[in-house]
Amino acid sequence: MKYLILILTYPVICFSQINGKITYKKQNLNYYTNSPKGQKLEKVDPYTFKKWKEIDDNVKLLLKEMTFQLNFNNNESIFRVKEFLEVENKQYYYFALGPDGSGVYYNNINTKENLVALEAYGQRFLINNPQIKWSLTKETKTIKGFLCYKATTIKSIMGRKGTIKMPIIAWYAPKLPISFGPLGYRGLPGLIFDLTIGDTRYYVEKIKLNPKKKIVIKKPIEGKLVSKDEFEAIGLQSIGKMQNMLNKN
Amino acid sequence: MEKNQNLTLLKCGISFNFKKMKKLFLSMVFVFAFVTLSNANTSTKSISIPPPGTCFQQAWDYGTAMGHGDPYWEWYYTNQYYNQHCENQ
Repeated sequence: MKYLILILTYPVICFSQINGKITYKKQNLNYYTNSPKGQKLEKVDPYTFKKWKEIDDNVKLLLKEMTFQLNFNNNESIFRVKEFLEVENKQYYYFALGPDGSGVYYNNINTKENLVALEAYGQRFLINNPQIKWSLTKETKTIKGFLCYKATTIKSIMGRKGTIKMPIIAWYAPKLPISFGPLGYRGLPGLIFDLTIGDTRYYVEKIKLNPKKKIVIKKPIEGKLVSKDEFEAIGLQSIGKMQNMLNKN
Repeated sequence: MEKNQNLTLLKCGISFNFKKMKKLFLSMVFVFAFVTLSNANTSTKSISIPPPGTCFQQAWDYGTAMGHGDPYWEWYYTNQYYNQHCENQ
């Protein structure tokens, strides 16, 4: 009987000890200069189009090299860009990184913290994001040999022209019961293998489970602690100031 | 006759033939006109004249287009564009 209990609980014990490193790649699904708006811009203002096209072309090249890493243990995870040495087109690095990729995302299941550390409007912030409400579907696809299920949610943002609703699609693998993913997205019954937010996609490149070297996760502590709503209010204020400056010129 | 058309201007012996000079001037005019017209033609193809508005305005337009209405995204892209294209101006 003892052995039977041990055999039955073995997978649970194994997974309860799970920790690892997941490497993600980023992909831009649409580039402005390839879009109908971009084509219109080319006709109306070829000078501006040429500049924007140069940015898009360099971003495409940089994204081939750029990777992100999710480190996790039983209760915590951290997601950030993996630094790489780029030489020629360094000035386009931050365009490729994008506003989403420039943050450090920390999750803690026990304390229910979902923090993003980033620099914006001339100061550092620690944004505490709310819990995500997922809609689970029965749609499946196989990614890297793992059966993944589709889940969706909507991200609401307060913008200058009202609330923006951005659709999010996640593909998670229940076989890997790790409730983390890229950009701080979590709460699904499996690791997120693929995440699409608007025109940006993050997808798994490499999986390394239970490495010999212990994974240490450092919670980001620097920055002004604000809620998502507070951060959006600061953003609207800062953008408003910029617009006023522009109107004065 | 030919001798009359030759005008000795300087005592050192430099002389001009007016018929030859006329041909030379005409050919110069043609060459000048051709070069000017061909230059005018290519200048419409190259993009060397910046659009109206300040570089800050251009950065703002870029941020607005890439930001999709999210204030942080708008700020981020405006800031990156400004650092890249406007700071040294």
